[in-house]
Amino acid sequence: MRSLAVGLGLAAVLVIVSLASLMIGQVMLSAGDVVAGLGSIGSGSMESRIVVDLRLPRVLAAVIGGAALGLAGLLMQTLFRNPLADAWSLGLMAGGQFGAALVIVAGAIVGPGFLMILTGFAGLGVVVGSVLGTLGVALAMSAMARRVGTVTLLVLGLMLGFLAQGLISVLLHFTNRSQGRIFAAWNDATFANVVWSDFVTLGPLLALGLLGAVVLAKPLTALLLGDVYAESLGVNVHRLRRLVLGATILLAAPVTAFCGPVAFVGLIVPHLARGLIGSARIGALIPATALIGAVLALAADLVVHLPWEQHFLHLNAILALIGAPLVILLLLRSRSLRGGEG
Amino acid sequence: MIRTPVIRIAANAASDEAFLGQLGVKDRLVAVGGRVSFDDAVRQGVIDGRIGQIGYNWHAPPNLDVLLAVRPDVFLMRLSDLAQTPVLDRARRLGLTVVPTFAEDEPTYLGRAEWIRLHGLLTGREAEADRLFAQIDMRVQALKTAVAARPAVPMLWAYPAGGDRWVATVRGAEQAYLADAGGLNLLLRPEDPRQWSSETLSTEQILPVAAKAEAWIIGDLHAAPPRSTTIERVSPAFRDGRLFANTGRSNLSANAYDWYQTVFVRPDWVLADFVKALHPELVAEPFRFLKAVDRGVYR
Repeated sequence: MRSLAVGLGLAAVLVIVSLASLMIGQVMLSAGDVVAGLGSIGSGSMESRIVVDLRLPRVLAAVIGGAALGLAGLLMQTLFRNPLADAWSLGLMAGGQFGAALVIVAGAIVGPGFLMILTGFAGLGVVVGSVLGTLGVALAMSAMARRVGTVTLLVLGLMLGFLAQGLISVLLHFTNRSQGRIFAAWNDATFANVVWSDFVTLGPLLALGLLGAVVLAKPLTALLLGDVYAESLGVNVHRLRRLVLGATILLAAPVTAFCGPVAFVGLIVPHLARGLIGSARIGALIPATALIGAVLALAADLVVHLPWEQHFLHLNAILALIGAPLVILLLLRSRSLRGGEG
Repeated sequence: MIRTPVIRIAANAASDEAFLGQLGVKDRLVAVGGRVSFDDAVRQGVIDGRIGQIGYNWHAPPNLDVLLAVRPDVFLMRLSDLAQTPVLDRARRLGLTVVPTFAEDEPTYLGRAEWIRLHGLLTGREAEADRLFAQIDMRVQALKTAVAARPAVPMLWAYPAGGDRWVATVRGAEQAYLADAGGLNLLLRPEDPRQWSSETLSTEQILPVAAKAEAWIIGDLHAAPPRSTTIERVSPAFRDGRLFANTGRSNLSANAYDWYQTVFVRPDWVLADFVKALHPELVAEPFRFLKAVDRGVYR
C-alpha cells in the first residue's frame, strides 16, 4: 500500500516537473504554447521546434536516464552490499570517459573522416567510444568477479576508475584545442545532447537493463543477507554477479554515452527510495528508484535550464549540490557507515 | 630603462610573436609561451630547444627559471590574469626587464594593431611599424567606405559549444568587424567594457534569430558540433551555403592557430575576410583567416 502511494505521488511529481521543463527555459512558454507546439509537429512553428525538437527529447532523456542511473546504483549497492557503490565507484563511468577520450584522440590523429567512417555521422564517435570504454571496464570487472569477493571487487573498480582517469589526462594532453573542446562538451554531462533518433538505441538497451533488474530482483534480495544465505536458497552468486554487472552496463553505459558522465544519481537515489518505501526488498524498490531517479535528474536539468541571465550551470554541479549533502547526511546518520563510534 | 634596439626578446603571448613577425624580427625571439606557435620556424625552434618555453599567458605565469637562463633584453609579458602580477614584480627583482603588454585587451581592433609601434620602438623598426600601421589603417578605412553604401546583411557569429549551448559574438572588437564589414549582427548587445565580447546562449535563444541569419560565422576551433540539426533546418545561411569558420589559418596537427596571432596585427586582413564573406563582390583576394564551410562542418 505504501509502495503504491509513494509511486503515485512520485508519478504526479514527475508529471508536474516534466510540464515545467517543457514550459520553462530561456524562452518562456505558457501551457497553451506547449500544447500548441505538441499539436503542430512538423509545422515549423517556433513553439513546435522549441517544444518538440529541443525540450521534449531532453525531458525524455532526463526521465529515462535518471531512472536508469538510479536503477544501476540500486543494483550496484545491492550486489556489493555497500551504500556507496554505483557506476562511478565501479569505474564504469571512468571507462566511458576513457573510451570517449580515446576516440577523440584517434580522430585527431587519423582525421575527422575516421569518426565519420566509424559512426555514420560526426559526433556519434564519442558515443561509440564511451560504450566501448564502459564495456571494457565492465568486462574486466566481470572477469575479476569470479576470483574475488565483493569488497575487493569494489576496491578494484575504484582502482580501474583511477587508472582510466590517469589515462584520460595523458590522452587529453595530446589533443588539440578543437578535440579537447569536443571531449569537454561531452564530459560536462547534459541531457540536451540527446536527439530523437538516439532513442532508437537508448530505448531497447535501457528496456533490457530494466528487464534484467526486474528478473534479478528476487535473487538480489536474497543476496542482501549474504552470499552464504543466498547460496543456501539456490542462488548461484558468481553467475548473479555477472548478470547484475551486465544489467548495470545496459542501464548505465547508454546514458553515459549519450548524456556524458552524470554524477550522483546512481549514488543517492537508492537511499532515497529505501527511505520512502521503508523496505530493502528489491522488487519494491525498483519502481520507486526509477521514479525518484527520473524526478531528480529532471529537476536538476530544469534548474540548469532556468533562464539565468548570461549564466549556464552544469548538470553535475546541480546534482553535486543536491547529492553531496544527502550523502554526508547519510554518512552521519548511519551507524554502520559512521564507524569509530560505540 | 630599456636599451634599444633589443636583440633578445622573450614573449608569453602568441600575439607578440606575430607583431615581431610582421616587423621581420622573429629571429630575435629567445623564449616564447610554448610549442603551438603558428609560425613553423618559431615552433621548430622551440621543439629543437633553441627557443625557450616560458608558458603561455592564458595557461600559466611565466617560468622564471627559463627566463633567467635565456637572458632576454626584454620580456614582453601579457598579464591576462591579474593573479600573475606578483610574478611580474618577482621577475623585475630578479633583474629581468619586463614590459607588460595589453594589445589583446584593447577594445578596438585598430587599437590592438597599433601596439606594433611599441614593438617597432623596442626593436629599432619604428619607421617600419609606423608605415605598416598606416597601411593597415588606410585599408581598413577603404573597406569601411566600400561597404558603407551596401545594405547590411543580417548575420550571426556564433558557434556550438556542446549540449544546447552556443557562444555568440555580441559586442567589442569582434562585433566591430561585423559592423564595419556591412553585417547586421542579430545578437548585437550594447557596448560594455566590463562584459566579454561573447555570450553563451542556449539553442532556444539562437533559434528565433537563426531564422533571419543570411550569413553565419559558425565555425570555430573551440566548436563542439551539435547533435541536434534544428538550427540547421531554420536558417537561410544554411540553406544558401553562406557559412564560414575562423579556422582558415590553422595547423591542427601542431595545435597552432593564427587566429590567436596575426589577427591582432593585421585587422585589415581580417576585415577584408569579413567583407568578402558578406559582400563578395567587393574583395577579390582569397580568404585568409575565414574559410567557407559546408553544412554540418563547424571547424
